[in-house]
Amino acid sequence: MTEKHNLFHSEEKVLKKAVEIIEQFEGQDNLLLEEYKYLFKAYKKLLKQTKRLVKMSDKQQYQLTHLAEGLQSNNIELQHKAQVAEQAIQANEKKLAQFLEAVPIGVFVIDANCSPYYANKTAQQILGNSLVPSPLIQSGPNQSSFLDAMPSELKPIVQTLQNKMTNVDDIEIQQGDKIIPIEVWVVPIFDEDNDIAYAIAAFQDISERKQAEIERKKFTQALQESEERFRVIAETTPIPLVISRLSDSLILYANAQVKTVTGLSATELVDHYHTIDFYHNPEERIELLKLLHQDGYIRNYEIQIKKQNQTVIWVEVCIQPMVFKHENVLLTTFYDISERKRVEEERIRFTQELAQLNQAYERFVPREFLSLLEKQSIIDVQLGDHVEKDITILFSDIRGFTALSEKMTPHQNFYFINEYLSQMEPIIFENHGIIDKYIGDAIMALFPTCADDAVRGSIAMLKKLTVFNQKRQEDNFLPIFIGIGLNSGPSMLGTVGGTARMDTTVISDAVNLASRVEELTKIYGTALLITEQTYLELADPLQYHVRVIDIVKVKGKSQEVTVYEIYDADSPTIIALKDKTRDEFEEGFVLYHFEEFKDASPFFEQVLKTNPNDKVAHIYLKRCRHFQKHGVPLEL
Amino acid sequence: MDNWKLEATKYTPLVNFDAASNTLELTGESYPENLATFAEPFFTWLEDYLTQLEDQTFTVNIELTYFNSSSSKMLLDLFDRLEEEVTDHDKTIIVNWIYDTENEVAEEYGEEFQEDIEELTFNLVPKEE
Repeated sequence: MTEKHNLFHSEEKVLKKAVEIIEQFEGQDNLLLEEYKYLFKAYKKLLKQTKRLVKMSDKQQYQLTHLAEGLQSNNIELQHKAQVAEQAIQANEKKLAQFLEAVPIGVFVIDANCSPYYANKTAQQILGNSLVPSPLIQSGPNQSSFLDAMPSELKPIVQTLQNKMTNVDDIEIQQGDKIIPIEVWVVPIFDEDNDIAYAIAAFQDISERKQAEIERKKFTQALQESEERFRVIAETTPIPLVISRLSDSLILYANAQVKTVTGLSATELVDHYHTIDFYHNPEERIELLKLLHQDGYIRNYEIQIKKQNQTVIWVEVCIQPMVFKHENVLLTTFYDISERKRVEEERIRFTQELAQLNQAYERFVPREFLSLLEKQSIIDVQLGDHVEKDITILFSDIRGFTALSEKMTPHQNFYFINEYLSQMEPIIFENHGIIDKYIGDAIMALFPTCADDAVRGSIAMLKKLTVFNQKRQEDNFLPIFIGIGLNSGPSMLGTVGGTARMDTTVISDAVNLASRVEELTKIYGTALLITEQTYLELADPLQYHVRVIDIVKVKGKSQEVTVYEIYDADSPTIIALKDKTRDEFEEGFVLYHFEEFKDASPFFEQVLKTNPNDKVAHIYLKRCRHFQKHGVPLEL
Repeated sequence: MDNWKLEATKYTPLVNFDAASNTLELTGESYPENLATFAEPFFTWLEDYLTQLEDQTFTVNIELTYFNSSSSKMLLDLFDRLEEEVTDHDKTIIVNWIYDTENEVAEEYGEEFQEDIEELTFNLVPKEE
């Protein structure tokens, strides 16, 4: 208010002065005063209006300032928004550029004036840097120079600007010496007025694809040539072959030769028959597939197949998996081996016969005998082959067989002997003995391993005889008795004879003594006698029931040999009696051989008192009495 | 008296007289560089109108969102002329100063004009949105 007051101070003073003048001249009839009053009133009104206008003008000034501030503030806000929008656009553009740079295809944009607008790195590589010098072209070369530089092959982009969308294959770009095949897609971009603003061309270098196509063509050609070669080979080879589908064995190809193994022509087979139709045993296909899975192929597998006329033949097949006309197939070749199989079967049969023949030979010449001669087969045996070895020789003989055989027919004789020998033979083998020969009812056997084998074998033979006799008695036949003599010593085993007739034999003094000891069993009525040479070879003589029997002189030699009885095969009663009287018997035996016959006799009498059936004691007692009466001969 | 109208321009308000209701409207903004081109036809029409105005109530509705200093002078002259008609010829004239309640300055302008008026009916009319 003060300011306003001050502002109109001079005007107020004028008013005050005017009031004073009017007051001074009031009451006077003065025309001039009336005019002055009118002017004063007008001035007063004018001043009032002026004051009002100044006041309102200030307000208007304030309002304008306020509006300006508001506008400025709005402007700043708008500027800020514009800045944010600008940044967002830049970020988006950057992202878009990154996307476009990252894509493996070339992207090239030209504007409506055919000027390059943008090209990513791949586009530059494909089109060449001279055409598109920078990744982002804001102002490229002028239209005419660009169009001049543009390869004619890229004209589809320009066509796009004439509202044609284009997809062109197989464009070739010359880049130095290199020609790059590219594929191009061109799409027009329209502005808000539906006018073409840009054309976007996407390029792809299809060199690799083109190369692959060339390779594929080459491969297809090579495959066709290969298939042709295969066909020629398959048709001309003498080997029958078929190609069958792996999944269902349908025959897809067969050469003419297949007729020899199937009986059907290739035309009849293909697409009509399955390989499984020709299996003699269809289950074998599963086995074959297993082998295929395991090894990847099959070589020389022998199988029987059934021909069209139902004849079964042997073939050898080779199977190879392969791809034929885009299908997994099996290439099978056949080789007719019927003839080979027949020869093979004949060979097997011959081998079997030979084995039987060998077995038959072995009956005559024991394998063990050949082993002693260190020969594998009888074929290897030569006249004069021999070996020297310490062995134990067994002789056995049936008591009174001559008388027995006279009561039987020849047939019965053979039957009886064979029945008897078939009982004895296994026992000898079981105890590692070799039957050297049969001499009628007599057996000559060799025990090359040890004397115990011979003794155990002899005891077993005698025990077996007891069983054999029980059967005979059940059949109302008389029992038979045998005597066995054993002797041990060095012997020559070998072959004798001529080139036409040859035999194996044993040449040894030990053989003769063994035979003689066997003879003694008849005299003494004992079943088993052994010489002191055998007795000394035993691992433990006391494991047997044994007593001394005699001292004999070997024929043609001065040497005397003690003979022992082994009575393990006697009945338990007899064994017990012989054991009980053994000491008395041996006292008598010693005195007898010292020719103390008088002193010896009571011992034998004593033995007989206990065991009245002791034939040996009888013999010695009889001899003692004889020598006492008639004197002792020069040689006992 | 016929209806009369001055179309609004960028710098002058709409002037519209409705003869049926004897109502004159001034609406818009007023900040012409040369006020005379607007004021002269306006006051010519007003003088003609007041001459033939009898006992009808003449209503003047003014709704100006912005006006400049020369427009203020024109408004003062308008209100003086109307008051003179009321005082000297006993006419019934009502002025409604219409303002937006959110526009405080417009209300203050109305109050300024109201202060100098003695006989003329001058209403401050707030406009509800």
